[in-house]
Amino acid sequence: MPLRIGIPRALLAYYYLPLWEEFFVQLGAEVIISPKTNKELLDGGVELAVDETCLPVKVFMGHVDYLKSRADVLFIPRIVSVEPQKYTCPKLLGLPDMVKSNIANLPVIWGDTVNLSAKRRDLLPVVYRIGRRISPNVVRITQAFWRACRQLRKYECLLRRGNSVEEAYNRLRHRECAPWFWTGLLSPGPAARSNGPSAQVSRPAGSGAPPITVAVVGHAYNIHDTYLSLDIISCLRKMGVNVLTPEMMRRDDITRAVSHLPKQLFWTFCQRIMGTACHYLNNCQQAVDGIINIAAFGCGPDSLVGEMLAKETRRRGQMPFMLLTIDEHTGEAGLLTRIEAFIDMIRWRRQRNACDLSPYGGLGSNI
Amino acid sequence: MRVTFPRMGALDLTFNTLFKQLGAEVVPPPPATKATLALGVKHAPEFACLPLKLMLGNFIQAVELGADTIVMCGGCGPCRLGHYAQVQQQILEDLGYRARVVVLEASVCDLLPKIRHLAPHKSWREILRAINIAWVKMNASDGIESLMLKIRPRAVKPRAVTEIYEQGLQLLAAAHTVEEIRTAHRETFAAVKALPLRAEKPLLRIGIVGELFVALEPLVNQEIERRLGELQVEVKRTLYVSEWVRSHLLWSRQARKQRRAVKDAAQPYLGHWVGGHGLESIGRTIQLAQAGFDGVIQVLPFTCMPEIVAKSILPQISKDYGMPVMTLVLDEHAGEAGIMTRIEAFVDLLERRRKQEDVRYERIFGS
Repeated sequence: MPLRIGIPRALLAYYYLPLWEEFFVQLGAEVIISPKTNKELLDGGVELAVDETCLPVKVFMGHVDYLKSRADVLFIPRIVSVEPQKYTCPKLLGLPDMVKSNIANLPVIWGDTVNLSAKRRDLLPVVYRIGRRISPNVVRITQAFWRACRQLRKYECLLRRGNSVEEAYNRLRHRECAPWFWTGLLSPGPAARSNGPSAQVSRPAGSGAPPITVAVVGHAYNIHDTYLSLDIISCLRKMGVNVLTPEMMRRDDITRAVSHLPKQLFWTFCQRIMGTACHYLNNCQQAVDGIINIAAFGCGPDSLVGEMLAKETRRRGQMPFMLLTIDEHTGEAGLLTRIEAFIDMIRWRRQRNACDLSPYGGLGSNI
Repeated sequence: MRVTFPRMGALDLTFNTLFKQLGAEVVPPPPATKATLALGVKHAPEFACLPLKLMLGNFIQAVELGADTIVMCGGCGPCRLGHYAQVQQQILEDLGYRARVVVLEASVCDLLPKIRHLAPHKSWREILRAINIAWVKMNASDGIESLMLKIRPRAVKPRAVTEIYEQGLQLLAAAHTVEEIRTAHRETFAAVKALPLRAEKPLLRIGIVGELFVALEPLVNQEIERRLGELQVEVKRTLYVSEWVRSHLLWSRQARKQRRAVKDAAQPYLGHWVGGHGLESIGRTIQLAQAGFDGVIQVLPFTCMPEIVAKSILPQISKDYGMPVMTLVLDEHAGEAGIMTRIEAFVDLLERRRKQEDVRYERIFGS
């Protein structure tokens, strides 16, 4: 019977799930992925985690609790850093240890440390160390890792073309994507096109005006978790709004966009959030009509990045900006009302052709 | 140039001396009060941690008193402290205060040139002399503090100890050379030693771990050390700024060895640093448990990321070592009475435990 490896569908799985899944499947293990977040998982997590932890970590605990009786091994890597000179958040650094002390009766946990803050090559020893536990064959591990990387590249390419995480993952499973050797060529993404809707957004029937485009910035595990964010992406799309997320951005655009900051953010994923927002603020004033920042309650980095973003947008004075904080009590009606009001405000600005009207109450462009 | 700096416990003595010796005009921020905190809370991001808010309040007050240069610490870890300076600078700018923020990163290579920049007319020799005097003063004030913690529970009049402590700090503040500092230190020690003590009896011993700023700043922690001392508890604080300087800036062999010991102690529970003092909180708690302490109090500001990781692991340690651990989460709403009640209840609990243990001991060994 093959080894059953459980992967919680939470936190960094939203970025790396295809890589992990493909790697283990190629090595001959059975991969069990927890279902999409639902009420039971969230409630279970809230009960297990310490009160002060942030929402995504609480959700993660719920997913682990679901998997603990269904898998032989839980894959909860300690991802310290995924690129040089940058880190993830402290809670991700302590994730396997927090899981171990908060949840009882756990199976074996593979909490390998992934730290690429010195050099990217440091990933390889970790890959072989994990691979050896399943298969002693080094060639097979190399092959599995190679295929897994290919899968991740395809996945990222699908994301860049404007798919949400769920869509990209499903398309990947049904092999609905270009051959891998095209991925480098065929990834212009909506970010690179300075002015244009991304592929799958249909215009509202009967209106000649170009659809509204909104950048939804936030951690992928918040905005793409359809339960936590109350499926904000589909909500917006149903209103005929084109949605852009940080995952749809090219990395070099992000680096360029934040180069003016006095100090580069040392959190990888926050850098992406900041970069996405700054990119649209800097170059393509016409490309998006508004920015929605989604922060989870209790998220440390988000509290500072949200402030920096708000200040940055306020200084330019042109772009409508809204901060939505989500927590375990977020009600659908409240969130929807705010989103609708935001979109209405954008439409109204457009109709009045009132782009010089500040979205922040005052009349001048410098508030 | 009129220099100011953040306040943290008795650290202003050191900074005051350092910048005065460097020939700069110093505008020390007024002692933190509720008004300072209110000022910071009003202008800082809502979910930022307390140190950011209080420091911002300090800065606003100092700038209003005429300071034009703010010296602030930096950081490159995943803790939010590393981005404080930039966020605070933006907030000050938006409020219309004109002040330059000089960020001192935690490395000697970065520190020395920046200090040199602050004192353009001084020779390297004078700069090193200034640093030395400040360093001696920091050690002296930390020495006095740790002596207070020992003497206060044993003195007949604990308040007299606090008075001597305040006088000692004033003596230190007035001392300008190494000799004068040593004399002030000696005099304070002699005054403390002359105090009448209670008859020797075994005291409860409580260790304090957690976040540095909250552990040091009496406004935030409601003078927890004094209160515990007056309840006749011997307090051991594990956090001193001089310790931090020794291990992070001077790389002293002894401090490094101590750090390694802490890390090794924490290893079974937390296998990696998590920024801030998270790993230290875990390691020190285990060391205190092994040294036979009666209990540990963890203090942290609300939403502090590294300490939340530690907080989720501490109950496990408490269970394994049979030592009660209490966590105090402090924020701007922390009330004196609430904290006092919790401290008293914790001390009562420890006293009961000790009595029961004595009874059990007598039953087993029949003394």
